[in-house]
Amino acid sequence: MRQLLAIAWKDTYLRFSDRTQLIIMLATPLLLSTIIGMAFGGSSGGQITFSDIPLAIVNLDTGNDVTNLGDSFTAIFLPDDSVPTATNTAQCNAANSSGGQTLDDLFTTTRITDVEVARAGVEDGTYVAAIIIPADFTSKMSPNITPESATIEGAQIEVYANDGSPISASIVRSVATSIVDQFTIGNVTVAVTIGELINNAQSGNLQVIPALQNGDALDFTCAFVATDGNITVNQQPLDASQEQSNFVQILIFIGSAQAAYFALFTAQFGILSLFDEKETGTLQRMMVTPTSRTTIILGKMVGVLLSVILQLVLLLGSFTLIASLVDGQAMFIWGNNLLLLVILVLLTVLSISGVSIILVGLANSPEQVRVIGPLVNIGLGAMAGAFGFQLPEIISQFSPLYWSVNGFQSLAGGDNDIGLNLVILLLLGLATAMIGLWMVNRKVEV
Amino acid sequence: MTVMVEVSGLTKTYKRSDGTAIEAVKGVNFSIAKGEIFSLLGPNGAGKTTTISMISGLVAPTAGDATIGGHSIKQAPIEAKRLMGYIPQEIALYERLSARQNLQFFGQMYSLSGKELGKRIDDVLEFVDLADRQKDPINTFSGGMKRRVNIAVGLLHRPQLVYMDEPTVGIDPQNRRRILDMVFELRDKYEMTVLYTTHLMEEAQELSDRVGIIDHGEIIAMGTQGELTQQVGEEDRLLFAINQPTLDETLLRKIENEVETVTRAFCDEATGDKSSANVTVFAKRGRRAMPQIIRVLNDADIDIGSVEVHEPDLEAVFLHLTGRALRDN
Repeated sequence: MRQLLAIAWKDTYLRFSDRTQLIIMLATPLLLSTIIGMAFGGSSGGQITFSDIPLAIVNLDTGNDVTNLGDSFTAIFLPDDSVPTATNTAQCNAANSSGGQTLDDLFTTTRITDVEVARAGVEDGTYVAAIIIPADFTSKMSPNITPESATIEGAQIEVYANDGSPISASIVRSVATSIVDQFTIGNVTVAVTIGELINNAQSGNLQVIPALQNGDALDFTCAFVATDGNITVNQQPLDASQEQSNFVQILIFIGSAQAAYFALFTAQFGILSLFDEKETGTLQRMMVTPTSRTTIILGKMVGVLLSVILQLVLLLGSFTLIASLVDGQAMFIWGNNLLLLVILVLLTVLSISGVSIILVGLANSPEQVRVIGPLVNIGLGAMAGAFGFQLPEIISQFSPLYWSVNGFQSLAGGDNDIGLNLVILLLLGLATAMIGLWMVNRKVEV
Repeated sequence: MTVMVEVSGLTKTYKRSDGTAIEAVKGVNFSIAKGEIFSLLGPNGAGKTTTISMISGLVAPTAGDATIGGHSIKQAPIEAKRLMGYIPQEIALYERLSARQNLQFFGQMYSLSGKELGKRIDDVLEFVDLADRQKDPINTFSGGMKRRVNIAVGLLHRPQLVYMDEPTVGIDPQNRRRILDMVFELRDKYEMTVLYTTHLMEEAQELSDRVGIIDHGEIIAMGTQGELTQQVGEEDRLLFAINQPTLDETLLRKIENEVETVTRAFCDEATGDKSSANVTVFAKRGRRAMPQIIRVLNDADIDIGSVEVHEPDLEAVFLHLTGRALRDN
């Protein structure tokens, strides 16, 4: 164990004491990300305002004899649509609206009838998300009233989101959830009230509702207050990311992609150092010490992991510092779940190292890795958006960097639902690292 | 006599890319006593490094085994490796680390740590006379200084057996002398056993208690210098440089037949610009035979460039056994 750590520490020390390697590992990604952030995000430090988020809505709801809640739902996003909506809402709005940005400002909504067209639109980036209202939405959301009880089964709407824009997607998800909640609350209110009236009528104990005593009409509209098109963004429990400037948003995306991209080089050069040591004779020298070959190879691998971890931590920390300096306020840009962030960093390192090990294992010679390696890295980096543009998601998903960058973005956006990212990175990392180690081990014959 | 190294039937076969096999080392056998300096002498490519690599556990033998202090390098490699120090032919150091940092790292590889490691480092730096440069990075050192750090690393854990694979290659005479003196000191002061490989006959002669001559992967002769030179008898070796590419076979036979003390005469292949060649003649009393040989050559109008007389040495043994000069390889 002591030997393993000695090798790992020696490699890490050598890597971090080399000025050229430091430029590649740290200075270049920092500089590139900051420049791109400045160029496309500005450096004013102003607050970001979300508006005109492209959204598709597909209403499959068949409704019932009385109403179609899907139409009501759609009308919230498309107020000009000629669909029946709740009436007499003025006083509710007066009571509940707290001003701010309206949904009309926030979204540019397109009504689509075909689910597949909507999904394709999301995948190709035309829409940030598609809200798909199921055919049984009304029936499941309508109260089932019996003399004994009044229940609502509850329906699920689907928000099909593009992972490339996690913040906007989370806004859509949040707004949609809020509206469904309002529908539920409204329907429960109606169900309970009517149920009470029925019970009273059946027991011959019908009393006049106080509102009627005053001569007012019985009005349930306020139960649906959020559904009348006046939902404001600041009413939604949106993520902290909305507080971040354009610069920070871009820095998070480009920064995490660049960090992961340059980490690939560190891992690759790290594994290649095994062959460099073979060339200079230091590997042979280690092998004649009372140290097993497995310990030596594992020591080299731990050195690679340690270097990449340090590199990522330093880069992520530096990006936070840069964001704070540019925005003029201290902030931590990688979300609020430190544990998930640490796990994501570790699994990113594992998967990046795994890919590098297998690449070295597959190559016929170290020279081949030096030629092909950077090309593979560029490809994997491009798939993750490291160069400022995004490839179709279906392609990007083949890059471990995509899952990593996507995870960093999600965490930064306050979305801690990165389980899939972690699982994919873990499996990919373990599989590639194990196969790669086996292959590299065979090549280290001295 | 306690045996430190026992090598038996050590064989290494490599497969070529075309599927054919090449036998780099062919069933080598020898043993080295504790406290002995044993040299493997042979031309480049003779199999010295492959043999030493197998004994040090670096290369797995195709057949045979070696034991170090009774530990088989195949069955108990870690135990065997604890007893040995390896000083490779090339400078196997981390160039950007200082001499001390290099020693610290390799010391840790031998499970040394703390004060003990610090003390050992001070000792070996003193031994190789580099204590004053210990904090300088290796890439600022001269070739000779690097060689000395290279040696220091191999001695750090005070091994009972030291392998030195051509440690004087490419260095100036002053540093070479220093290294040869160190080898004596290792044996005489620290009672270490030394396995030394070289293609330089003079080094083998000066250093070794015993020499194994290796050629084409086989030990062709082994023993003390005296034992080996006895194989070529009491013959002196006369070397005539002639200013023509070769010497006629009939003239060589004439020298053998007409000059009484001559036992053997042959002509090496032309060297350099192919305008000259060396004629080697073995004779029992070389200096006496020399005028007669010169007369035969003069009678045949052979232009003689120079003449050398060599007492029996390892070069002569190699020549006698292989028909080739060590230097020509």
